[in-house]
Amino acid sequence: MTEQTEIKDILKEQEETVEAMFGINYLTDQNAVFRRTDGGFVSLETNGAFYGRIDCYCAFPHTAPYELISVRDSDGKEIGMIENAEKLSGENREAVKEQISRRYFMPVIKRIESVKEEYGYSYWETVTDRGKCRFTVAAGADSVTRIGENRIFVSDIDGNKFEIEDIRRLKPKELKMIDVFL
Amino acid sequence: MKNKELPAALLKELERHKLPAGEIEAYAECDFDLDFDYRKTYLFLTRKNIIFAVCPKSPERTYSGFAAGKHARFENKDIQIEEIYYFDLNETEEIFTVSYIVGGAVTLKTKEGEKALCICSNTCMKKLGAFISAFSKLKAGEKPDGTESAPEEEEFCPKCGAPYPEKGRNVCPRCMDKRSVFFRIFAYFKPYRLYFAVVTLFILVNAGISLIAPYLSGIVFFNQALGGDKDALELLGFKTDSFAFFLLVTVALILLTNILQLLFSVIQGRLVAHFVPRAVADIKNDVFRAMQNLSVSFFKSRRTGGLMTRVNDDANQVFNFFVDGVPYLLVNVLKIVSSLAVMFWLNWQLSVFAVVFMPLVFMVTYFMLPKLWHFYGKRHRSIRAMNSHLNDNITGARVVKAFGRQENEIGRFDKVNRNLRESEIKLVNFDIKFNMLFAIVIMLSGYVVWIVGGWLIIQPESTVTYGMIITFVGYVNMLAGPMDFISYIFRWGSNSLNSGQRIFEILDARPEITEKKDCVHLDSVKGRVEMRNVVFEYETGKPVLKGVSFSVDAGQMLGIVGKSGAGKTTIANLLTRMYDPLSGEVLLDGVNLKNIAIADIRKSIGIVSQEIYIFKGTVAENIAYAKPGCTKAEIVRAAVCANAHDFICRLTDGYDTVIGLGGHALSGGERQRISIARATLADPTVLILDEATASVDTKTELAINAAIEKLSKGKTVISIAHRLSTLKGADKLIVIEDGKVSEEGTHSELAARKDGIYQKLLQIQSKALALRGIEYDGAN
Repeated sequence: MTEQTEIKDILKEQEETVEAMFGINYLTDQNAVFRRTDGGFVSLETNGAFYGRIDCYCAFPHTAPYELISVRDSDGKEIGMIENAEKLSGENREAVKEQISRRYFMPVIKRIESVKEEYGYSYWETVTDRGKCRFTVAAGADSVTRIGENRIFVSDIDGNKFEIEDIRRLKPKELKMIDVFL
Repeated sequence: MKNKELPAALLKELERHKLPAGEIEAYAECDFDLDFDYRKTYLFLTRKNIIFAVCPKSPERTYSGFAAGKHARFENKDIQIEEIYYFDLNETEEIFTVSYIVGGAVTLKTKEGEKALCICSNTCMKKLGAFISAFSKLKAGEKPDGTESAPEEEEFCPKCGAPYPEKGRNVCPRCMDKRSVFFRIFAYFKPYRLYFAVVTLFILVNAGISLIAPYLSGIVFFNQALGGDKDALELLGFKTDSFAFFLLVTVALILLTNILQLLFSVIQGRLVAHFVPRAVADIKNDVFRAMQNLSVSFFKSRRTGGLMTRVNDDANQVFNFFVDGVPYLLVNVLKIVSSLAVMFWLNWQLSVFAVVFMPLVFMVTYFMLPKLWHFYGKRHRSIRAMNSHLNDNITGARVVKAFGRQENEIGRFDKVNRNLRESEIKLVNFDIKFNMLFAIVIMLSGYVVWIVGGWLIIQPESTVTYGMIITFVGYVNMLAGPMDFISYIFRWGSNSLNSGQRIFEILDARPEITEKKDCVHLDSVKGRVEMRNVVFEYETGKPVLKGVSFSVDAGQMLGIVGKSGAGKTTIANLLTRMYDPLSGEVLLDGVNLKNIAIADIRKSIGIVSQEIYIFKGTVAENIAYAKPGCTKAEIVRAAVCANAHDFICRLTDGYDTVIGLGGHALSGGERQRISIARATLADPTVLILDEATASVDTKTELAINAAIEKLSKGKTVISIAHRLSTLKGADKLIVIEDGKVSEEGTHSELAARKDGIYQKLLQIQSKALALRGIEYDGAN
């Protein structure tokens, strides 16, 4: 291989990377088939390629969970984007939405029974949509984060997350218990 | 896995299902089923199978931290396996987790494809990781030996089960030995014991005086002086019948007690101001001295960041407690006991009613004060948020203007400002509520005394007098303070002792790098450097160097090449003995560094690194850092060698220019050249260059390289670089990859090696630059 062709190769490679960086491949009902697999995952067939297990990453998990979904293969490489999962049809929509809800799952706190603080930790007893949950939260500003005005994520000492969908729906007594974290 | 490593309840359940507990090599517990409902599941690994055991759905889940100590009652100990599935080990290709935002799906891969078994939360992830590595070991034909999981970091106090408040610092504030910490802090007052004794005395005297005050203003003033009590007059030995005189004396006495109290507290305050700052300064000095002797690893460990900044707060906190807390605890206990004694001595019925509300005072403070502190903390955070917002905005002023977003910034500031306002309002509201409640409880006690006392007065043959009621109300008011104090002193004390404990941790930390007693003093170092099979890790289980060997002869230059993260800087750290290797040897002139006096190592091995330490001081002081007491001429010569003389002279204050934090700002290249001048002045035999020119532009790099070339004459040089151009003069090059020396040889040898890493690097760097029309000078 001469020096000339080598340099050309390098240039071409660079161009390709640049193109891949800037191009967005949108996945639609026309070019993609999402299917639930027996193993509990979702597969994708698009443009002649088949992916046995895909992941759906939300670009805006808090503000628009079903818009601009990055679909990735099992190695985490992006296959394409979905503009709006709600606008897909039938099985496609169900499969993608399910995949999103799995990836972003966290128990939703419905009721707070008690929050006690002791030596740098607070001990929460709550009732979530998954049942009664007791967990321990480290003191400090990072454990309880506010998403927008009224939504709250609570992380426990292991990094498990819990959600309070709307603090306005809490009873005054419950609100008082968590007031110091807000 | 031995049976005893399995929890007893699990073992029992395994027996019930006739599962071969003895054959289990590893196990893991997961907590969700595929529908994300709580359901315990177990994975067991044997030599034949993966056994997947499923328990029934559970209506609740207790995460870590909670299922311990006093919360142990919540721990769900019963295990009830319902379904069991077997997966043949030979058919299982892989087991892994598909990770989610929290936790992930445990997945089995067989010929037929991937199958999710269950979901596990973050809590279960750690153990699952060990299970997976045990599985891979078994698949590879090795025997899992329990080392798959990194040694579990202790996160929970073994005594009470509560999680440790600071990660990596295994101290439980509830269970720590508070007494020893207390007495150790107390020892810091020893040089000032006279002061301490005097202050304590004043406090006690003051407490005694304040105890007399209610008696004087009540019983003596009303009953005896105003009431015309002749016995009292006689008892006091006054030779006069004039009650006016008695009255005057009483008032004078009351005045005197007030003045004395004031006087004593002023003296006491001045004494405290005199010795406490000294004791605090003493302990800070001790901490700083201890810090200087500690090894680099101590500063690297994640807990130090917080630890260091808190030393200051901690020291103040501890000493405040000892000055404002400990003596007053004594005083307040004394006050409570003695006023109760006086009250009961005067009239026990009235006393019972007077103290009946006192526990309420205690309760109000005990429960409300922590909340008040929370509000203070919240306001503090808001203030901090506002400050950082302001700081952000000011540093980003150019960007804000460039995009014309001033209005937007004003809006953002308003939000932060509103937050602060809200927290201020909340704090004030709560503070008022707290104070009001406190006052009401005290007032209630007072009213009870008035009502019950009044009722007692109008009873026939009553011994209760108006003056006595006044005295009682005085005592009730006086009791409130001590009650309040005692309700929070214990929490305060516990926090302070924790602070003290943190300080002692630094004082007690043993440096990892120590000098041997029979160490060798090297008079003249030739400069041969060698590493023999060096293994090193910063974190246990994650080796950075995995058996590195190389040598450089005296006066030669060795180039070290490798990707970032390959372990190059670690080599520099070991060569300068900032760390000791886990195994293997680092040799200087054939002597193990561990056996050489540390001062000799520092003298003979110098380093110019990317990390430049410029302290606040003049340029000359900064250069002379390595050789205190050197002449001005020497400093200038070093600067000339380092190519720094020119720019230093152009500074208005020349070598006297103050640089460092807050001083004249130097560019990266200028700072680097000062550090080279420093190294030149130190004149080490072995010079290590760790990416010395990585962050400067090409022109500066050339200047620095020229300086380095001058400096390296006749020295052993070990140069670590990312850019190959820096290494063009090297006699030998080694390529470090993944913690090992993967290639070794001269430039031309390595460049000729087909598919060699060096050859590839060379190609990429030269071609990439050539493509952009930049001439590359690294390939000779």
